[in-house]
Amino acid sequence: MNAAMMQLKFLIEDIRGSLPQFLFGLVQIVVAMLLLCYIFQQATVFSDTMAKLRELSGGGEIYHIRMLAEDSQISAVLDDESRRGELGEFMAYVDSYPVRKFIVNDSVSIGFSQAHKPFDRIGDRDDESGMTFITPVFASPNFFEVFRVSGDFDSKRVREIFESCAAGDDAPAVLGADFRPYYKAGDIFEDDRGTRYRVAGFLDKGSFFVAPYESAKAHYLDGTFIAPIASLEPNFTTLISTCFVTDDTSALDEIVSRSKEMGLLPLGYDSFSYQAENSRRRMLNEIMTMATVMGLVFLFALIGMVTYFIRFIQSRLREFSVLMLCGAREGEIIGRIAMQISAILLVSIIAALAVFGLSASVLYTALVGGAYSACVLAYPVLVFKRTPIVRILRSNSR
Amino acid sequence: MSEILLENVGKVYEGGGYRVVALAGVNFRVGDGEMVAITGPSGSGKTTLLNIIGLIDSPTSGTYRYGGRAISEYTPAELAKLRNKAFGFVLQDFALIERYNASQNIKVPLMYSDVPAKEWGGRIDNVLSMVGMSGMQKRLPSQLSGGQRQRVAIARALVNDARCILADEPTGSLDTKTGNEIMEIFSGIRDSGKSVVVVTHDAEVAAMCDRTVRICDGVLGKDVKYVDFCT
Ligand SMILES: Nc1ncnc2c1ncn2[C@@H]1O[C@H](COP(=O)(O)OP(=O)(O)OP(=O)(O)O)[C@@H](O)[C@H]1O
Ligand SMILES: [Mg+2]
Repeated sequence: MNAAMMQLKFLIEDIRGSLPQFLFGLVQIVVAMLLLCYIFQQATVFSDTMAKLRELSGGGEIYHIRMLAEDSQISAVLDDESRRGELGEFMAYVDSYPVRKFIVNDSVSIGFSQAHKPFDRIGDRDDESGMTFITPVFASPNFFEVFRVSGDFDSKRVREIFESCAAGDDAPAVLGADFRPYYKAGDIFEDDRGTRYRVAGFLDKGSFFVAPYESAKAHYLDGTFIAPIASLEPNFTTLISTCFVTDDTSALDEIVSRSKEMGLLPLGYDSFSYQAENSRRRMLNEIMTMATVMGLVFLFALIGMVTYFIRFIQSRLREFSVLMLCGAREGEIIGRIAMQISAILLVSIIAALAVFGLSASVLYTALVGGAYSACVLAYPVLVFKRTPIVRILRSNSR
Repeated sequence: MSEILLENVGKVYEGGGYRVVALAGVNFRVGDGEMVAITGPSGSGKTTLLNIIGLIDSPTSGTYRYGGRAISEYTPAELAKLRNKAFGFVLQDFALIERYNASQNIKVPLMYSDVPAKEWGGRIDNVLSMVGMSGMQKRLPSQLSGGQRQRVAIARALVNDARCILADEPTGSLDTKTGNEIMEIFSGIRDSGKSVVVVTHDAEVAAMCDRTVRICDGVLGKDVKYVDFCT
């Protein structure tokens, strides 16, 4: 008989024979493997993010402004109509300050009315207002170079359009790949505040950027669009989305003291290194917690599976020796034992693929799973190999 | 040439504080188409000898040649192949798999052979009828009498057309009539050109064989064994 077919038949037979224990082990290992895959994925995202951020600063330090006030105090200043002018003046001052900077404001949610069908599909629908919300990225004209984000457009040209955009104009918008079926370059759409956007091009599918904020997370762009920061009214959220690339903090000190002089809000600033360290610690903490849970599940599963296999082998020792008496090779019997753990491994890899998709993380998980299976099998196989068949065949004949 | 030839074969069991010489320098030969009985008192090493011949145990000294080649030169895979093709083993306790029915038990050697699966059914029916068990395919070992189990074990030994059948006390637990029937089957096997080695206590059984080999403990309890030919 075809050897593979025979092993498969045995596998079904063996699993049926001890289904509850088998399923229990299966569930544990699948859970542990999914956790492991998640950890790998987080670690990959984390190191990619860090690399991207390092690339961003070109070796220099990146700073960004932080407000040192309570939320209520902040809104008191921001909502005060009489201070609008001062605020604008201050923003213009910051804007003109001669330090390399870039702005990415991804905190303003914009509503689109029902007339915009594509937004219903892409954005978050709010049933109460009947509107769909999208959070565009309002960015400075150098966004595409700084974050190396590209698409079907000419970056230089888009930079020029972004630079020449003034408040009140139609704003150029570079759309994420999800919008591609609904619009073409030159089309115009309008948000609920009456701002009109003219489609300037489309981003490559899967485009993302990482802003050096506290959360330092990859920000995917397929379901959103990029518009010039100039199309947003100047406000403090713009200020805190401004990143200053410099090694000289005197510039930042001046901005902080200027705000103080003008009686606006108390400001401070953080360096990207400081945030990266924070972010690294947080990620590591998260990963460590997950790893501990995963380690425990793996350990329990290991103990469970090893006892399961030892019991399985011992209950079948006589049968196995009869098979060997009839011509089975030792390797075939060990293969039969290995089939079960392989089946578990296969199920957990399929589960990981289903959850995380094809990625390096799943590959690493599969490798660890393979090594783990070898650990599970090592002792039971040793027990089997050390028992000569003649002893088993004799032990019952007495 | 499938001849079985043992030259000065010894088997010593050694463990924590004990040393048992089960076989001491056995010279033995089985030719094609011959039926040999091995007799001797309990503990004299008959089973040990049969297990060595059937390749489920290995000698600690001397040489065992199968088909002119020392078995120490065979790879584990080749030995497995020989166990599958060359030998049919009928153990004292039948060594049937309890959760398999008669037909499934007999199928085991076929699973490890080159025989195409479509021939299996025919072969199984054939050997079952040879041992007088037609129609009992679906019976589990627990649903069979001792003599019937013995027949299933013999059928399994025969199904792969092994050249040599090895049987350890095949009549030991059977009544005389059933024992004789089993021996008839073995005679038939021998007549078909295969060799048969039967371990037995029973002089009557031995008498049905072409020749008998006696294996005995050494006189005065010395750890010496000899084989004599008393045809
Ligand atoms: N694994 C073992 N370890 C130690 N001694 C063993 C082992 N197996 C067999 N022996 C010893 O080897 C000797 C030969 O045993 P064997 O089973 O071959 O005898 P036998 O002739 O078949 O006896 P019986 O007629 O009772 O079946 C005996 O003294 C037995 O105690
Ligand atoms: Mg014996």
